[in-house]
Order: sequence, then C-alpha cells, then structure tokens
Amino acid sequence: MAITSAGTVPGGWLTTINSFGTVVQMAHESKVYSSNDTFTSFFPVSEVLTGNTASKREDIIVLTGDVVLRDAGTLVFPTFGGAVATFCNEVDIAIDDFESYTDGEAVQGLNGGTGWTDFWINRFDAPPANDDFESYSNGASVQGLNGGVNWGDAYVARP
Amino acid sequence: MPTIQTVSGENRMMLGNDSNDRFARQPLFMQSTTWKKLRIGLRLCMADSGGNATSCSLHVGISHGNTSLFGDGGSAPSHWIGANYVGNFNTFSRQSSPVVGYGCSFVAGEEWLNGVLLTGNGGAGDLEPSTWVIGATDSNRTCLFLDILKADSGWILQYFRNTDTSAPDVSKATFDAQVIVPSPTITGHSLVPAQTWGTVNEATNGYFDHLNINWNHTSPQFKISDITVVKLA
Repeated sequence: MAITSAGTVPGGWLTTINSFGTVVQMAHESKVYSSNDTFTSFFPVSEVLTGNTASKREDIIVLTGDVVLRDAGTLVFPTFGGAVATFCNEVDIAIDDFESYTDGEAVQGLNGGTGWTDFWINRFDAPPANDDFESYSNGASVQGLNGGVNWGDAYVARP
Repeated sequence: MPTIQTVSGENRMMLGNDSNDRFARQPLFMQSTTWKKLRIGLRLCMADSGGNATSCSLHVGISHGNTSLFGDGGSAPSHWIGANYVGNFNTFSRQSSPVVGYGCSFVAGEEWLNGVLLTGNGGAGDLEPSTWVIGATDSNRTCLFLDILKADSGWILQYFRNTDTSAPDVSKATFDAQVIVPSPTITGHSLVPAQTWGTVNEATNGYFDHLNINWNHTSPQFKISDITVVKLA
C-alpha cells in the first residue's frame, strides 16, 4: 500500500492489519491520539518522547505539559483483524482520606492527601477581628478605643 | 496602661508602660459560643532593656467576660485559658546578635478559675521545644500565633512562633495573609506540635468570649503592630 502524508510532521506510520495479515489502512502518528474508554490524549503519538514509533505503543506518555500518564499495563500488539489499538492508563487521581489531620481541625488550608495542587478552601461566616491601631492617635490610652474591624466591643485596658 | 505609640511610621500598642498592663476585647464571632477553633495572631517586637528580662510573664489567651481580666489579682481572672510565655525560670534571655532580641524557652498552657491556676486539669506543660525569639528593634517584627481548639479529646493548644535568631521582619501583608491559614508559612517561624489540654467546662465556669492579654513587666516593653483573632472553625 502506497500512502503519503500531506502533513509536515516527520514520524512513523501505524498500520491496520486484517485477519490475513494484509495492511489495509495506515495512519501517520501525528494523526493518532492514544485513548481508552474514558480518556483521550490531547497530544498525538508523534509528540510522545520515545525513540521510535513502536516504542510509542508502550504506555509511557510524556506530555509537554505537567501531566504524566504512568505505565501500568502490558503492551498488546499487534491485533490482527482490527485496527491497531492504542493504550493509555489512568490519570493520577486526587485523593484525601483526612487521616493526616487533627481532630477538630478546620478544613480551610489543610493540604494533605495526594494529587492535589492546592489546599482546601472553605467559607465561613465569621471574618477575623483585626486591629492594626492605625486609626488611633499617638499616645492614646488603649482603654475604650474601638477601632479595627469585626470586634464586638471596645478595649478594656488597665495599668 | 497600654497606650498607642507611633513607631517607625506605624502605630503600635505598647504593653509595659506600667508593671502589669493588660487588656481585653471581644471579637465579634465570640459573641456566639459555637466557635470550635480560634487563633490569636500578633505581629510584634520588643524594646531593648539592655539585659535579661527577669520575673516576667506574657499571658496570651481568652477570658470569660471583660470585667475580670488576667492580671487584675484577687479572684481574677474568673475563667481564662491560654499560654503563659514565661521563659526559663521566668527569664527572657537577651541576645545581642545577630540582632538584639529576647529568647523565651518555656511556654506553659494554663487554665485559671477565680484567681486560681488549675494544676489538676492535665496542663499542657512546656509547649516550647526550642527557643522562641523575638526581635528587640523596631524593624524586627515577628509573629506569634496561638491556636485554641475545642476537640472531643479536650482542649488543644498550639502556637506558631519565630525561632530564627535574626528575627526576620514580617510585613503586614505577610501577617494578614498567613494569620488566616491553619498551617501558616513565614520565614523563620514554625508550628509547635499540638498539646492536648484537659476538659474545660465552659458551661459551668463561664464561656470564653474575650481576647485577654497581660504583660507583667515595664522593661522591656512589648510593641504590638497588629492583632487579629480568627475563627478557624
């Protein structure tokens, strides 16, 4: 079968072989995206960093971003009578079973578990009480001052 | 009496104008008894007295009401819980380098009821595994956070302080950003492992509803740049 690629990406070809062992279809690796029933890589096989096209059939897929799909499977190749399958494995999952935290701890800011890029954020209805003293005059007694935010009363201060 | 003083372009609360300065104030959220964990956040430094500070004690905690404050004497405080930054043998040790500052190597969790320190309630002992260091120049402000948690197992005290002897200055922006984070990150600072307190009966002895701080010394003084009290849970 003579076939050429009209694209500009150099690389190898993947074949579809029928039950007689005859090549019935070819696809350039720049047009093939690894997939399974839940996930399809958004990079074509041609962008997988391996030495040759056959190696790219194995499941280590290094993307140019910050995602790595781990190799946890066994290569099955070739499959006669059907299209050459492409494989990928599960994406890293984010999980937190909360066992690393302390009893009674607030969720806000906790950063346990694996696969998370950020800490937990929750919302609550009690903003912090804060006073940076900038609303007062130099030399003022603290007794009775009532600046800052989210306080329920004024200072009671004694010498 | 605690006073406001303008220092290096910002206002600070000065503790230590008199020998037993103390104050209380109620965060809005403490009007309700439903809080489970709070943090008292301070950004502060000290004045330099030129020598060790002996017989001193900084009590940072929460009280029931604001009529019976820590330091009032007699039967006060009516009910108080928090940390006593007391130093080794009641001494804050002065350091002259790399920056002038004071080190505090002993911190105790305490609960007081009607003027009596409750010693039979599983006190948290020495919370400080190393030495807390606070700068004694106006440009070496560090942070001191005290977390108080009501857990099923009892009360848990935990605090966050600076141990870097250079007492790197903490900006207000950093303080504001980190004081609300359960696991804060500030250069030179670290979180002391939590220690469990005994059961504190608020229903019987009075609900904690005010911030209450006491410093029993005139020299050196404390200079508090910011106070924030956060309901973490």
